Amino acid sequence: MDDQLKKNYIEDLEDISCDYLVVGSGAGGSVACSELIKKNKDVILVEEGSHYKIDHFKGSIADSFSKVWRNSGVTPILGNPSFGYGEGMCLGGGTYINGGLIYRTADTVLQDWEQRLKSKIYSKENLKPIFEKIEKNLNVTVEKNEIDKNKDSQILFDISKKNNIKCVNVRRAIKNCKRNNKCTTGCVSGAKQSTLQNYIYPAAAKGLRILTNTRAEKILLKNNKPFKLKVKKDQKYFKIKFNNIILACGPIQTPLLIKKSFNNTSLKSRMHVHHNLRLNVVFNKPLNSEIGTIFTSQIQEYINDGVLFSASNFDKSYLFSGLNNLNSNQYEFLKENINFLATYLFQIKATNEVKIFNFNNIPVLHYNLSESDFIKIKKYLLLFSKMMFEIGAKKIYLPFSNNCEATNVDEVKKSLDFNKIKNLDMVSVHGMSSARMSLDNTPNSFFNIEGRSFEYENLYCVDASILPTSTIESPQGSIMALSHSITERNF
Amino acid sequence: MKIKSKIIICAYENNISGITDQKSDIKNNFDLYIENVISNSHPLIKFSYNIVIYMLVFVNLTLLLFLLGEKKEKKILKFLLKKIEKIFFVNKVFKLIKVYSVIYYYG
Repeated sequence: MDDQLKKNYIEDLEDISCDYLVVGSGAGGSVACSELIKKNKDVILVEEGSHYKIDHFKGSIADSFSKVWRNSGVTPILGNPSFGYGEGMCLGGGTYINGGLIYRTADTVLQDWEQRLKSKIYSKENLKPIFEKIEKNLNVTVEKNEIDKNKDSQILFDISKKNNIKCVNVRRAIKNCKRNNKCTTGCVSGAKQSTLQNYIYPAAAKGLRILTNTRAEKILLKNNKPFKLKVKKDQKYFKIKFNNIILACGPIQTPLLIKKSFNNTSLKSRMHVHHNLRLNVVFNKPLNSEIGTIFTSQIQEYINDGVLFSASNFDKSYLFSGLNNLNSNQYEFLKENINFLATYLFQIKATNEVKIFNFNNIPVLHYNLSESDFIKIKKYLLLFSKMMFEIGAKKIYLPFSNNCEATNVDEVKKSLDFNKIKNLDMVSVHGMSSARMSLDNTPNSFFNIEGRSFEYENLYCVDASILPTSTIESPQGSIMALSHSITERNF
Repeated sequence: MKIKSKIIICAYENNISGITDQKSDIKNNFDLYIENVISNSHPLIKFSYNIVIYMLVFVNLTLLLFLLGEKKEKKILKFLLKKIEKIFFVNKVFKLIKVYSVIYYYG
Protein backbone atom coordinates (compact mmCIF):
# COMPACT_ATOMS: atom_id res chain seq x y z
CA MET A 1 0.00 0.00 0.00
CA ASP A 2 2.83 2.39 0.82
CA ASP A 3 4.37 2.03 -2.64
CA GLN A 4 1.01 2.55 -4.27
CA LEU A 5 0.83 5.99 -2.65
CA LYS A 6 3.75 7.16 -4.79
CA LYS A 7 1.43 7.31 -7.80
CA ASN A 8 -0.67 9.87 -5.94
CA TYR A 9 2.11 12.35 -5.31
CA ILE A 10 2.02 15.50 -7.40
CA GLU A 11 5.40 15.90 -9.10
CA ASP A 12 4.95 19.17 -10.98
CA LEU A 13 3.67 21.96 -8.75
CA GLU A 14 3.43 24.60 -11.45
CA ASP A 15 -0.09 25.54 -12.39
CA ILE A 16 -2.07 22.97 -10.37
CA SER A 17 -5.71 23.29 -9.48
CA CYS A 18 -8.51 21.28 -7.93
CA ASP A 19 -12.12 21.50 -6.94
CA TYR A 20 -11.46 20.75 -3.23
CA LEU A 21 -8.19 21.50 -1.46
CA VAL A 22 -7.80 19.82 1.95
CA VAL A 23 -5.03 21.25 4.14
CA GLY A 24 -3.87 18.74 6.77
CA SER A 25 -4.18 14.96 6.94
CA GLY A 26 -5.02 14.23 10.59
CA ALA A 27 -8.31 13.05 12.07
CA GLY A 28 -10.39 15.73 10.31
CA GLY A 29 -8.55 16.13 7.00
CA SER A 30 -8.31 12.43 6.19
CA VAL A 31 -12.04 11.93 6.76
CA ALA A 32 -12.83 14.91 4.50
CA CYS A 33 -10.56 13.52 1.73
CA SER A 34 -12.15 10.09 1.96
CA GLU A 35 -15.75 11.41 1.89
CA LEU A 36 -15.06 13.78 -1.01
CA ILE A 37 -13.34 11.08 -3.09
CA LYS A 38 -16.32 8.77 -2.45
CA LYS A 39 -18.46 11.50 -4.03
CA ASN A 40 -16.12 11.53 -7.08
CA LYS A 41 -14.80 15.01 -6.34
CA ASP A 42 -11.45 16.31 -7.56
CA VAL A 43 -9.37 16.57 -4.35
CA ILE A 44 -5.80 17.55 -3.46
CA LEU A 45 -4.45 16.88 0.04
CA VAL A 46 -1.63 19.09 1.32
CA GLU A 47 0.38 17.83 4.33
CA GLU A 48 3.29 19.63 5.98
CA GLY A 49 4.94 16.46 7.31
CA SER A 50 6.35 13.45 5.52
CA HIS A 51 4.90 10.05 4.81
CA TYR A 52 6.48 7.49 7.13
CA LYS A 53 6.03 3.81 6.47
CA ILE A 54 5.73 1.37 9.35
CA ASP A 55 9.34 0.28 8.71
CA HIS A 56 10.46 3.76 9.76
CA PHE A 57 9.35 3.01 13.33
CA LYS A 58 11.28 -0.25 13.48
CA GLY A 59 14.57 1.64 13.67
CA SER A 60 15.79 3.88 16.44
CA ILE A 61 13.08 5.52 18.60
CA ALA A 62 15.36 8.54 18.88
CA ASP A 63 15.21 8.99 15.12
CA SER A 64 11.48 8.44 14.63
CA PHE A 65 10.34 10.45 17.66
CA SER A 66 12.06 13.64 16.54
CA LYS A 67 10.56 13.45 13.05
CA VAL A 68 6.89 12.54 13.46
CA TRP A 69 6.06 15.16 16.09
CA ARG A 70 5.94 18.87 15.21
CA ASN A 71 8.83 20.96 16.57
CA SER A 72 10.68 17.79 17.65
CA GLY A 73 7.85 17.03 20.06
CA VAL A 74 7.65 20.28 22.01
CA THR A 75 5.75 23.42 21.15
CA PRO A 76 6.44 25.59 24.21
CA ILE A 77 3.54 27.21 26.05
CA LEU A 78 4.78 30.10 28.16
CA GLY A 79 3.14 31.14 31.40
CA ASN A 80 2.44 29.73 34.82
CA PRO A 81 3.41 26.92 34.56
CA SER A 82 5.27 26.79 31.24
CA PHE A 83 4.76 23.43 29.60
CA GLY A 84 5.15 21.58 26.33
CA TYR A 85 2.42 20.88 23.79
CA GLY A 86 2.80 17.99 21.37
CA GLU A 87 1.10 17.39 18.02
CA GLY A 88 1.80 15.03 15.16
CA MET A 89 3.26 16.22 11.87
CA CYS A 90 3.20 13.40 9.35
CA LEU A 91 0.78 11.90 6.84
CA GLY A 92 -2.11 10.68 9.01
CA GLY A 93 -1.33 13.38 11.61
CA GLY A 94 -1.73 12.59 15.29
CA THR A 95 -3.82 9.49 14.52
CA TYR A 96 -0.66 7.77 13.24
CA ILE A 97 1.29 8.25 16.47
CA ASN A 98 -1.25 8.42 19.30
CA GLY A 99 -2.56 5.62 21.50
CA GLY A 100 -5.51 4.95 19.18
CA LEU A 101 -8.11 5.66 21.87
CA ILE A 102 -11.44 6.44 20.27
CA TYR A 103 -14.20 7.93 22.41
CA ARG A 104 -17.69 9.00 21.47
CA THR A 105 -18.27 12.60 22.57
CA ALA A 106 -19.67 12.61 26.11
CA ASP A 107 -23.44 13.16 26.42
CA THR A 108 -22.96 16.22 28.62
CA VAL A 109 -20.68 17.82 26.01
CA LEU A 110 -23.14 17.10 23.18
CA GLN A 111 -25.99 18.58 25.20
CA ASP A 112 -23.90 21.71 25.76
CA TRP A 113 -23.17 21.95 22.01
CA GLU A 114 -26.87 21.53 21.22
CA GLN A 115 -27.69 24.48 23.46
CA ARG A 116 -24.86 26.66 22.19
CA LEU A 117 -25.54 25.97 18.52
CA LYS A 118 -29.35 25.84 18.93
CA SER A 119 -29.31 22.87 16.57
CA LYS A 120 -29.61 19.12 16.81
CA ILE A 121 -27.20 18.32 13.97
CA TYR A 122 -24.53 17.24 16.45
CA SER A 123 -26.93 15.60 18.91
CA LYS A 124 -26.26 12.13 20.31
CA GLU A 125 -28.93 10.62 18.03
CA ASN A 126 -27.57 12.23 14.87
CA LEU A 127 -23.94 11.37 15.62
CA LYS A 128 -24.70 7.76 16.62
CA PRO A 129 -24.62 6.28 13.06
CA ILE A 130 -21.50 8.35 12.32
CA PHE A 131 -19.68 7.00 15.38
CA GLU A 132 -20.75 3.47 14.42
CA LYS A 133 -19.24 4.03 10.96
CA ILE A 134 -15.97 5.40 12.42
CA GLU A 135 -15.71 2.50 14.85
CA LYS A 136 -16.24 0.03 12.01
CA ASN A 137 -13.71 1.78 9.74
CA LEU A 138 -11.05 1.86 12.47
CA ASN A 139 -11.87 -1.55 13.92
CA VAL A 140 -12.49 -0.03 17.36
CA THR A 141 -12.51 -2.81 19.94
CA VAL A 142 -12.80 -2.96 23.71
CA GLU A 143 -9.45 -3.79 25.28
CA LYS A 144 -9.18 -6.84 27.53
CA ASN A 145 -6.89 -6.82 30.57
CA GLU A 146 -6.14 -10.54 30.49
CA ILE A 147 -4.21 -10.20 27.20
CA ASP A 148 -1.51 -8.22 28.98
CA LYS A 149 1.20 -9.78 31.04
CA ASN A 150 1.69 -6.44 32.74
CA LYS A 151 -0.44 -5.45 35.69
CA ASP A 152 -0.39 -1.64 35.64
CA SER A 153 -3.88 -1.38 34.13
CA GLN A 154 -5.20 -4.24 36.31
CA ILE A 155 -4.26 -2.18 39.39
CA LEU A 156 -6.92 0.35 38.36
CA PHE A 157 -9.60 -2.35 38.48
CA ASP A 158 -8.34 -3.36 41.93
CA ILE A 159 -8.70 0.27 43.02
CA SER A 160 -12.15 0.47 41.48
CA LYS A 161 -13.31 -2.67 43.30
CA LYS A 162 -11.91 -1.52 46.64
CA ASN A 163 -13.37 1.99 46.41
CA ASN A 164 -16.51 1.17 44.43
CA ILE A 165 -15.68 3.61 41.64
CA LYS A 166 -16.17 3.36 37.88
CA CYS A 167 -13.33 1.84 35.87
CA VAL A 168 -13.78 0.71 32.27
CA ASN A 169 -11.83 -1.12 29.58
CA VAL A 170 -11.00 1.43 26.91
CA ARG A 171 -11.94 1.28 23.22
CA ARG A 172 -9.00 1.42 20.85
CA ALA A 173 -8.52 1.41 17.10
CA ILE A 174 -6.33 -1.68 16.85
CA LYS A 175 -6.18 -4.96 14.95
CA ASN A 176 -4.05 -7.79 16.39
CA CYS A 177 -2.04 -5.59 18.76
CA LYS A 178 1.32 -7.22 19.42
CA ARG A 179 1.90 -5.36 22.70
CA ASN A 180 5.14 -3.78 21.51
CA ASN A 181 4.65 -0.80 23.86
CA LYS A 182 5.57 1.72 21.16
CA CYS A 183 2.19 3.46 20.65
CA THR A 184 3.40 7.06 20.95
CA THR A 185 6.57 6.70 18.91
CA GLY A 186 4.83 4.87 16.07
CA CYS A 187 3.24 1.40 16.06
CA VAL A 188 5.86 -1.04 14.77
CA SER A 189 3.47 -3.88 13.91
CA GLY A 190 0.86 -1.90 11.99
CA ALA A 191 -1.79 -2.99 14.49
CA LYS A 192 -2.84 0.56 15.32
CA GLN A 193 -5.59 1.62 12.94
CA SER A 194 -4.87 5.21 11.96
CA THR A 195 -6.77 7.35 9.50
CA LEU A 196 -3.76 6.96 7.17
CA GLN A 197 -4.48 3.27 6.74
CA ASN A 198 -8.25 3.45 6.79
CA TYR A 199 -9.12 6.74 5.11
CA ILE A 200 -6.16 8.14 3.15
CA TYR A 201 -4.97 4.89 1.56
CA PRO A 202 -8.46 3.93 0.27
CA ALA A 203 -8.99 7.50 -1.00
CA ALA A 204 -5.56 7.38 -2.69
CA ALA A 205 -6.57 4.18 -4.47
CA LYS A 206 -9.51 6.11 -5.93
CA GLY A 207 -7.47 9.07 -7.16
CA LEU A 208 -6.71 11.41 -4.24
CA ARG A 209 -3.76 13.62 -5.21
CA ILE A 210 -1.25 14.19 -2.40
CA LEU A 211 1.41 16.76 -1.60
CA THR A 212 3.60 15.95 1.41
CA ASN A 213 6.36 18.12 2.95
CA THR A 214 4.33 21.11 1.79
CA ARG A 215 3.50 23.94 4.16
CA ALA A 216 0.42 26.13 3.67
CA GLU A 217 1.62 29.73 3.89
CA LYS A 218 -1.33 31.94 2.98
CA ILE A 219 -4.80 31.83 1.48
CA LEU A 220 -5.05 34.37 -1.35
CA LEU A 221 -8.20 36.30 -2.16
CA LYS A 222 -9.66 37.41 -5.48
CA ASN A 223 -12.74 39.64 -5.37
CA ASN A 224 -12.89 38.91 -1.63
CA LYS A 225 -13.12 35.16 -2.28
CA PRO A 226 -10.40 32.62 -1.39
CA PHE A 227 -9.09 31.19 -4.69
CA LYS A 228 -5.44 30.15 -4.28
CA LEU A 229 -3.26 28.70 -1.53
CA LYS A 230 0.36 29.78 -1.38
CA VAL A 231 2.48 26.81 -0.30
CA LYS A 232 6.16 26.21 0.41
CA LYS A 233 7.93 23.02 -0.63
CA ASP A 234 11.69 22.46 -0.81
CA GLN A 235 12.29 26.17 -0.05
CA LYS A 236 10.24 27.19 -3.12
CA TYR A 237 6.85 28.85 -3.20
CA PHE A 238 3.95 27.63 -5.36
CA LYS A 239 0.27 28.45 -5.69
CA ILE A 240 -2.58 25.93 -5.83
CA LYS A 241 -5.86 27.08 -7.34
CA PHE A 242 -9.07 25.73 -5.81
CA ASN A 243 -12.81 26.20 -5.81
CA ASN A 244 -13.23 25.18 -2.15
CA ILE A 245 -10.69 24.98 0.64
CA ILE A 246 -11.06 22.79 3.74
CA LEU A 247 -8.75 23.57 6.64
CA ALA A 248 -7.59 20.72 8.86
CA CYS A 249 -4.15 21.90 9.98
CA GLY A 250 -4.78 21.44 13.71
CA PRO A 251 -5.77 23.74 16.57
CA ILE A 252 -2.67 25.96 16.36
CA GLN A 253 -1.91 26.08 12.64
CA THR A 254 -5.51 26.61 11.47
CA PRO A 255 -6.12 29.88 13.38
CA LEU A 256 -2.59 30.97 12.49
CA LEU A 257 -3.26 30.45 8.77
CA ILE A 258 -6.53 32.39 9.11
CA LYS A 259 -4.75 35.28 10.85
CA LYS A 260 -1.94 35.31 8.26
CA SER A 261 -4.41 35.27 5.39
CA PHE A 262 -7.14 37.64 6.50
CA ASN A 263 -5.78 40.73 8.20
CA ASN A 264 -9.15 42.03 9.29
CA THR A 265 -10.28 38.86 11.06
CA SER A 266 -11.74 39.29 14.52
CA LEU A 267 -10.66 35.78 15.48
CA LYS A 268 -9.11 35.78 18.96
CA SER A 269 -7.88 32.16 18.72
CA ARG A 270 -7.86 30.79 22.20
CA MET A 271 -7.38 27.08 22.51
CA HIS A 272 -8.80 24.64 25.04
CA VAL A 273 -6.38 21.97 26.29
CA HIS A 274 -6.25 18.91 28.49
CA HIS A 275 -3.33 18.63 30.89
CA ASN A 276 -1.47 15.36 31.38
CA LEU A 277 0.34 14.83 34.66
CA ARG A 278 2.41 11.74 35.37
CA LEU A 279 2.61 9.81 38.61
CA ASN A 280 5.40 7.25 38.81
CA VAL A 281 4.48 4.62 41.37
CA VAL A 282 6.61 1.88 42.93
CA PHE A 283 4.52 -1.09 44.09
CA ASN A 284 5.18 -3.95 46.50
CA LYS A 285 4.83 -6.58 43.75
CA PRO A 286 6.18 -6.96 40.20
CA LEU A 287 3.99 -5.34 37.51
CA ASN A 288 6.17 -5.84 34.41
CA SER A 289 4.83 -2.58 32.99
CA GLU A 290 7.33 -2.66 30.13
CA ILE A 291 5.49 -5.56 28.52
CA GLY A 292 2.24 -4.29 27.10
CA THR A 293 0.51 -1.42 25.42
CA ILE A 294 -0.48 2.16 26.21
CA PHE A 295 -3.30 1.23 28.60
CA THR A 296 -6.32 -0.99 28.68
CA SER A 297 -8.39 0.53 31.47
CA GLN A 298 -9.33 3.94 32.76
CA ILE A 299 -10.94 5.30 35.92
CA GLN A 300 -13.91 7.36 34.72
CA GLU A 301 -15.64 7.97 38.06
CA TYR A 302 -14.66 11.66 38.00
CA ILE A 303 -15.40 12.33 34.33
CA ASN A 304 -18.00 15.00 35.15
CA ASP A 305 -15.26 16.87 36.99
CA GLY A 306 -13.13 16.64 33.79
CA VAL A 307 -10.73 14.12 35.34
CA LEU A 308 -9.55 10.77 33.92
CA PHE A 309 -6.95 8.41 35.34
CA SER A 310 -5.15 5.66 33.45
CA ALA A 311 -1.86 3.82 33.07
CA SER A 312 0.64 5.11 30.53
CA ASN A 313 3.18 3.59 28.17
CA PHE A 314 6.09 2.55 30.32
CA ASP A 315 9.72 1.97 29.53
CA LYS A 316 13.02 3.19 30.89
CA SER A 317 13.27 6.09 28.44
CA TYR A 318 9.77 7.40 29.35
CA LEU A 319 10.54 7.03 33.03
CA PHE A 320 13.96 8.63 33.21
CA SER A 321 13.30 11.39 30.68
CA GLY A 322 10.35 12.55 32.81
CA LEU A 323 12.14 12.68 36.14
CA ASN A 324 14.38 15.61 37.07
CA ASN A 325 16.86 16.33 39.83
CA LEU A 326 17.16 12.77 41.11
CA ASN A 327 20.22 11.96 43.19
CA SER A 328 22.33 8.84 42.64
CA ASN A 329 20.52 6.89 45.41
CA GLN A 330 17.15 7.64 43.84
CA TYR A 331 18.41 6.49 40.42
CA GLU A 332 19.75 3.27 41.95
CA PHE A 333 16.44 2.65 43.72
CA LEU A 334 14.46 3.10 40.51
CA LYS A 335 16.81 0.93 38.46
CA GLU A 336 16.58 -1.86 41.06
CA ASN A 337 12.79 -1.61 41.21
CA ILE A 338 12.03 -1.18 37.52
CA ASN A 339 9.71 -4.23 37.43
CA PHE A 340 7.77 -2.85 40.37
CA LEU A 341 7.17 0.53 38.70
CA ALA A 342 4.26 1.88 36.72
CA THR A 343 3.53 5.28 35.25
CA TYR A 344 0.01 6.63 35.57
CA LEU A 345 -1.49 9.47 33.62
CA PHE A 346 -3.82 11.92 35.27
CA GLN A 347 -5.68 13.95 32.65
CA ILE A 348 -7.65 17.08 33.49
CA LYS A 349 -9.78 19.33 31.32
CA ALA A 350 -8.43 22.85 31.84
CA THR A 351 -10.70 25.81 32.60
CA ASN A 352 -8.46 28.56 31.23
CA GLU A 353 -7.58 28.80 27.55
CA VAL A 354 -4.22 28.97 25.78
CA LYS A 355 -3.80 32.26 23.91
CA ILE A 356 -2.31 31.90 20.42
CA PHE A 357 -0.37 34.92 19.17
CA ASN A 358 0.95 35.33 15.67
CA PHE A 359 4.47 36.72 16.04
CA ASN A 360 5.93 37.20 12.56
CA ASN A 361 4.20 34.00 11.38
CA ILE A 362 5.43 32.04 14.40
CA PRO A 363 2.80 30.81 16.87
CA VAL A 364 3.61 32.04 20.37
CA LEU A 365 1.43 30.46 23.05
CA HIS A 366 0.62 31.71 26.52
CA TYR A 367 -1.32 30.13 29.37
CA ASN A 368 -1.94 30.50 33.08
CA LEU A 369 -3.40 27.63 35.07
CA SER A 370 -6.39 28.81 37.10
CA GLU A 371 -6.26 28.63 40.87
CA SER A 372 -9.41 26.46 40.84
CA ASP A 373 -7.75 23.95 38.48
CA PHE A 374 -4.68 23.84 40.72
CA ILE A 375 -6.90 23.11 43.72
CA LYS A 376 -8.63 20.39 41.68
CA ILE A 377 -5.27 18.88 40.59
CA LYS A 378 -4.10 18.80 44.21
CA LYS A 379 -7.38 17.24 45.35
CA TYR A 380 -7.17 14.41 42.81
CA LEU A 381 -3.42 13.88 43.27
CA LEU A 382 -4.12 13.33 46.95
CA LEU A 383 -7.08 11.05 46.23
CA PHE A 384 -5.25 8.91 43.63
CA SER A 385 -2.15 8.71 45.85
CA LYS A 386 -4.29 7.57 48.78
CA MET A 387 -5.94 4.88 46.66
CA MET A 388 -2.52 3.77 45.33
CA PHE A 389 -1.07 3.43 48.85
CA GLU A 390 -4.13 1.42 49.94
CA ILE A 391 -3.56 -1.03 47.09
CA GLY A 392 0.15 -1.56 47.83
CA ALA A 393 2.15 1.41 46.54
CA LYS A 394 5.49 1.87 48.37
CA LYS A 395 6.53 5.17 46.87
CA ILE A 396 4.97 7.78 44.59
CA TYR A 397 6.81 10.40 42.52
CA LEU A 398 4.49 13.39 42.19
CA PRO A 399 4.34 15.51 39.00
CA PHE A 400 6.35 18.48 40.22
CA SER A 401 9.60 19.74 38.72
CA ASN A 402 11.46 18.92 41.94
CA ASN A 403 10.28 15.28 41.75
CA CYS A 404 8.74 15.07 45.19
CA GLU A 405 8.67 11.50 46.36
CA ALA A 406 6.21 10.36 48.99
CA THR A 407 6.02 7.11 50.93
CA ASN A 408 2.69 7.82 52.64
CA VAL A 409 -0.36 10.08 52.42
CA ASP A 410 1.02 12.62 54.91
CA GLU A 411 4.11 13.13 52.75
CA VAL A 412 1.86 13.63 49.72
CA LYS A 413 -0.11 16.27 51.65
CA LYS A 414 3.12 18.04 52.64
CA SER A 415 4.36 18.09 49.04
CA LEU A 416 1.04 19.42 47.79
CA ASP A 417 1.07 22.19 50.39
CA PHE A 418 4.67 23.09 49.61
CA ASN A 419 4.53 23.14 45.80
CA LYS A 420 3.23 26.05 43.74
CA ILE A 421 1.65 26.18 40.27
CA LYS A 422 5.01 27.01 38.67
CA ASN A 423 6.44 23.70 39.91
CA LEU A 424 3.83 21.57 38.11
CA ASP A 425 5.38 19.27 35.55
CA MET A 426 2.78 18.69 32.87
CA VAL A 427 2.33 18.35 29.13
CA SER A 428 -0.57 18.54 26.74
CA VAL A 429 -1.32 16.63 23.56
CA HIS A 430 -4.98 17.61 23.19
CA GLY A 431 -5.71 21.09 21.87
CA MET A 432 -9.08 22.13 20.47
CA SER A 433 -11.71 24.78 19.93
CA SER A 434 -9.37 27.55 18.72
CA ALA A 435 -11.50 28.75 15.76
CA ARG A 436 -14.73 27.32 17.01
CA MET A 437 -18.05 26.99 15.25
CA SER A 438 -20.86 29.07 16.66
CA LEU A 439 -24.33 30.32 15.90
CA ASP A 440 -23.20 33.91 15.52
CA ASN A 441 -19.77 35.32 14.73
CA THR A 442 -18.45 35.70 18.29
CA PRO A 443 -14.79 36.79 18.79
CA ASN A 444 -13.54 33.23 19.45
CA SER A 445 -15.32 31.72 16.48
CA PHE A 446 -14.76 31.80 12.74
CA PHE A 447 -17.04 29.07 11.40
CA ASN A 448 -20.79 28.50 11.43
CA ILE A 449 -22.49 25.27 12.48
CA GLU A 450 -21.82 23.76 9.05
CA GLY A 451 -18.07 24.33 9.50
CA ARG A 452 -18.22 27.07 6.85
CA SER A 453 -16.56 30.44 7.41
CA PHE A 454 -18.88 33.32 8.31
CA GLU A 455 -16.91 35.52 5.93
CA TYR A 456 -16.01 33.27 2.98
CA GLU A 457 -18.51 30.78 1.60
CA ASN A 458 -15.92 28.43 0.02
CA LEU A 459 -13.78 28.16 3.18
CA TYR A 460 -14.45 25.27 5.59
CA CYS A 461 -12.79 23.74 8.61
CA VAL A 462 -13.01 20.15 9.86
CA ASP A 463 -10.27 19.83 12.51
CA ALA A 464 -10.09 20.22 16.30
CA SER A 465 -10.29 24.01 15.93
CA ILE A 466 -14.04 23.96 15.21
CA LEU A 467 -15.15 22.02 18.28
CA PRO A 468 -17.54 24.42 20.06
CA THR A 469 -16.04 23.55 23.48
CA SER A 470 -13.49 21.20 24.94
CA THR A 471 -14.25 17.49 25.05
CA ILE A 472 -13.45 15.53 28.21
CA GLU A 473 -11.68 12.56 26.61
CA SER A 474 -9.31 12.42 23.64
CA PRO A 475 -10.93 14.51 20.88
CA GLN A 476 -10.04 12.23 17.92
CA GLY A 477 -13.49 10.57 17.79
CA SER A 478 -15.27 13.92 18.06
CA ILE A 479 -13.14 15.52 15.32
CA MET A 480 -13.74 12.59 12.98
CA ALA A 481 -17.49 12.63 13.69
CA LEU A 482 -17.79 16.34 12.95
CA SER A 483 -15.70 15.99 9.81
CA HIS A 484 -17.90 13.11 8.59
CA SER A 485 -21.04 15.10 9.40
CA ILE A 486 -19.86 18.32 7.68
CA THR A 487 -18.53 16.66 4.51
CA GLU A 488 -21.50 14.32 4.14
CA ARG A 489 -23.97 17.20 4.43
CA ASN A 490 -22.24 20.02 2.58
CA PHE A 491 -20.48 18.60 -0.47
CA MET B 1 36.58 18.23 19.38
CA LYS B 2 34.73 21.43 18.58
CA ILE B 3 33.76 23.53 21.62
CA LYS B 4 30.04 23.37 20.78
CA SER B 5 30.16 19.57 20.51
CA LYS B 6 32.06 19.38 23.79
CA ILE B 7 29.30 21.35 25.55
CA ILE B 8 26.54 19.14 24.09
CA ILE B 9 28.39 15.97 25.08
CA CYS B 10 28.81 17.38 28.62
CA ALA B 11 25.04 17.99 28.79
CA TYR B 12 24.46 14.44 27.53
CA GLU B 13 26.80 12.96 30.14
CA ASN B 14 25.05 14.99 32.87
CA ASN B 15 21.67 13.74 31.68
CA ILE B 16 22.51 10.06 31.59
CA SER B 17 24.92 9.95 34.52
CA GLY B 18 22.23 8.54 36.81
CA ILE B 19 21.09 5.78 34.50
CA THR B 20 24.43 4.40 33.37
CA ASP B 21 27.57 3.27 35.09
CA GLN B 22 29.59 2.84 31.93
CA LYS B 23 30.97 5.41 29.54
CA SER B 24 29.08 4.78 26.36
CA ASP B 25 30.42 5.16 22.82
CA ILE B 26 26.91 6.04 21.75
CA LYS B 27 27.59 9.66 22.73
CA ASN B 28 29.84 10.10 19.71
CA ASN B 29 27.10 11.25 17.38
CA PHE B 30 24.82 12.82 19.97
CA ASP B 31 26.01 16.33 19.12
CA LEU B 32 24.96 15.88 15.47
CA TYR B 33 21.69 14.31 16.55
CA ILE B 34 20.73 17.11 18.96
CA GLU B 35 21.66 19.77 16.38
CA ASN B 36 19.19 18.07 14.03
CA VAL B 37 16.51 17.96 16.74
CA ILE B 38 17.03 21.65 17.54
CA SER B 39 16.93 22.62 13.87
CA ASN B 40 13.41 21.09 13.70
CA SER B 41 12.25 22.62 16.97
CA HIS B 42 10.11 25.69 17.70
CA PRO B 43 11.87 29.04 16.93
CA LEU B 44 11.70 30.03 20.62
CA ILE B 45 13.54 26.85 21.62
CA LYS B 46 16.06 27.37 18.79
CA PHE B 47 16.66 30.96 19.91
CA SER B 48 17.15 30.05 23.59
CA TYR B 49 19.36 27.09 22.67
CA ASN B 50 21.66 29.24 20.54
CA ILE B 51 21.94 31.93 23.21
CA VAL B 52 22.85 29.36 25.89
CA ILE B 53 25.27 27.46 23.67
CA TYR B 54 27.13 30.55 22.49
CA MET B 55 27.27 31.87 26.04
CA LEU B 56 28.84 28.57 27.10
CA VAL B 57 31.23 28.67 24.14
CA PHE B 58 32.37 32.07 25.41
CA VAL B 59 32.77 30.68 28.95
CA ASN B 60 34.75 27.76 27.54
CA LEU B 61 37.02 30.07 25.58
CA THR B 62 37.64 32.03 28.77
CA LEU B 63 38.46 28.77 30.59
CA LEU B 64 41.03 27.99 27.91
CA LEU B 65 42.94 31.12 28.96
CA PHE B 66 43.48 29.58 32.40
CA LEU B 67 45.24 26.59 30.79
CA LEU B 68 43.21 24.11 32.83
CA GLY B 69 43.45 20.44 31.98
CA GLU B 70 40.68 18.92 29.85
CA LYS B 71 39.24 17.04 32.83
CA LYS B 72 38.98 20.15 35.00
CA GLU B 73 37.55 22.13 32.13
CA LYS B 74 34.87 19.49 31.56
CA LYS B 75 34.07 19.37 35.27
CA ILE B 76 33.50 23.15 35.36
CA LEU B 77 31.36 22.98 32.22
CA LYS B 78 29.21 20.22 33.67
CA PHE B 79 28.78 22.20 36.89
CA LEU B 80 27.76 25.31 34.94
CA LEU B 81 25.29 23.33 32.85
CA LYS B 82 23.64 21.98 36.00
CA LYS B 83 23.22 25.54 37.30
CA ILE B 84 22.04 27.08 34.02
CA GLU B 85 19.39 24.42 33.41
CA LYS B 86 17.36 25.81 36.31
CA ILE B 87 16.89 29.25 34.72
CA PHE B 88 13.34 30.09 33.56
CA PHE B 89 12.55 29.00 29.99
CA VAL B 90 16.16 27.86 29.45
CA ASN B 91 15.04 24.88 31.55
CA LYS B 92 12.63 23.99 28.70
CA VAL B 93 15.58 23.76 26.30
CA PHE B 94 17.49 21.59 28.73
CA LYS B 95 14.39 19.48 29.37
CA LEU B 96 14.19 18.81 25.62
CA ILE B 97 17.90 17.91 25.55
CA LYS B 98 17.37 15.66 28.57
CA VAL B 99 14.43 13.85 26.98
CA TYR B 100 16.43 13.28 23.81
CA SER B 101 19.57 12.27 25.76
CA VAL B 102 17.63 9.52 27.54
CA ILE B 103 15.81 8.41 24.38
CA TYR B 104 19.12 8.42 22.49
CA TYR B 105 20.78 6.39 25.22
CA TYR B 106 18.08 3.72 25.18
CA GLY B 107 17.31 4.32 21.47
